[in-house]
Amino acid sequence: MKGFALLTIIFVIIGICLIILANTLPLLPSVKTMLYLLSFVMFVLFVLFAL
Amino acid sequence: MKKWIVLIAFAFFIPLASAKTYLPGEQALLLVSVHDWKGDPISSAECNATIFYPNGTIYLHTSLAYDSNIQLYKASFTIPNETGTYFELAKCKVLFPGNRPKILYARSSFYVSTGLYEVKKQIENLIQNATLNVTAQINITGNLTQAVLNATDEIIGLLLALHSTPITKQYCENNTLVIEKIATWTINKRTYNITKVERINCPFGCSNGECVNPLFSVGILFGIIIFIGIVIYLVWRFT
Repeated sequence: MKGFALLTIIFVIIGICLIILANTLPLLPSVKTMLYLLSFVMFVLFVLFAL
Repeated sequence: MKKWIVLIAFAFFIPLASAKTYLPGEQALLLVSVHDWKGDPISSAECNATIFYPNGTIYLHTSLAYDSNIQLYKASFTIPNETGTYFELAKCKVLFPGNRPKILYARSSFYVSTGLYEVKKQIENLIQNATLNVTAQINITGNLTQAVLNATDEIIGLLLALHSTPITKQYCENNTLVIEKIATWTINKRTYNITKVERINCPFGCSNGECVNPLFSVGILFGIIIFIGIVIYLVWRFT
């Protein structure tokens, strides 16, 4: 139970970090899209774990 | 901005003169101070001034009006385009006690140089034995005189390079990285802002104000994926 709570928080933090990185680093457009997708996945996982 | 040329005529002494350098087209003010032996200003004098070209011919002959606020005789004029040393002569007719007229003279000179010469002089003062090659596109902002504008872009580029101007702004325009640098240049007691724009073509695209490096991008992506994997594994393993 404790692990799930921790993972939930970690997913949110990672999701936010990915969006910040994608917006600040000079990255290839494809890599940037990948990062946005990953952050989306992180938020989806957060919602799933939170439920 | 008006430049002041001061001629001081003392009633019984040879006048003091000051010489300065001006750029063609500048507005200058000719000032003459007429004092009695006690140092009190004389307001009833009739003053004329003549400015001579470097070759000795007359450029301007004008009468001077007394300004009671500054207690000086003054006249404004435009600095001519011809470079060289100009000679000024002010002549004031003063009535001494007993209505005895006396003519006083004041003499001075000033130098008119082109912007190019001034820039060269400043560059020479700043560096020696340096070779600079600036070919970037340069935009000029500010109220530079025509003389300075004619001084060509290379000089402005040199000035920017000399000052090692830090980057003011950089942004992407499609696949081109645009770098803007703004330098301040002080010449003849006036400060100008000079903007230099550099355009760099980024072969792999431009993003967030920098050229994209494919290796860096892929490295970041893999690094993030590995990091997420490790974090999830550790949390899973130790809880």
